[in-house]
Amino acid sequence: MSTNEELYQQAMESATPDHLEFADLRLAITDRVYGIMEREGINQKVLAQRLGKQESEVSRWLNGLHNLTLRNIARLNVALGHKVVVVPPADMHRTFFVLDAGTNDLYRRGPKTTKPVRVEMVPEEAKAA
Amino acid sequence: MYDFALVKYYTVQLTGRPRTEFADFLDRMRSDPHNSRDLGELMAQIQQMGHKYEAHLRYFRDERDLAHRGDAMAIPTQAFSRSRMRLYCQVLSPKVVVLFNGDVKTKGINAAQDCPKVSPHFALANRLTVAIHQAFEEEQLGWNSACDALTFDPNTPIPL
Repeated sequence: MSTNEELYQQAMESATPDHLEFADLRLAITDRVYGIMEREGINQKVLAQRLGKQESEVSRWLNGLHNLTLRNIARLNVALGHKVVVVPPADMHRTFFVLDAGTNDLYRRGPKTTKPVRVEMVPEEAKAA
Repeated sequence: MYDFALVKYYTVQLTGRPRTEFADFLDRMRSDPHNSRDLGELMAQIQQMGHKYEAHLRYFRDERDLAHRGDAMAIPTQAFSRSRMRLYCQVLSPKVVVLFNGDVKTKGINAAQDCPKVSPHFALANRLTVAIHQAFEEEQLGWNSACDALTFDPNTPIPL
């Protein structure tokens, strides 16, 4: 018979990288949704009204037990007025930044863009330069 | 039992039982290969809360038995879809969780009390939460100075 400690250790090792990533995503999305609700002063009842759902169903969404499909995430985005999940642009990994010498504005230029796109957030190091 | 940077997990062992409640859960769940995904996800969630998120109530499924004043919760598995595995626990703070026992809930049954598999664990978990609160009141259980670990005499059983 395995000891308590052996069982704990074996169970811990049963979590694969996929399981860990899934749990990470779930907890992060839960935090994100609750964070938006708190900041915007939206409670579960109001969210349910905005979604046109029963409060119990929304409760299941928020507890990570309901089938939270892409469609439902899109509905949540609309109901909350904020994006729950943000997907970076496909070419983001190849994007680089250009500092306009004349205006000192920072521009983002990707390989597929012909015109530079102004970036709203200018890093401090770029401002200093 | 598990001591992570952000969360300490404890369990309980009933007098006369060969294993802790959590070890009994693990032993039964791993004996059925159908449970491997749910068990892996459950353990992953325990690890991620411990390493990165803390144990906030919003991550848990409410399994309180209000009729008996219990405040058991359950760690959800198979997040974003319907899961039937239930591991009952007590969240004492974002830093301290006590893991109890559980099982896989019978399909088609809503209330834990009506399921022959999980109902004994649901009932025991809620009884244990009451006993643990009582043990705090009677100072059999306490907090360390940082309030991130329990203090107790391991040789003194807590009455249930």
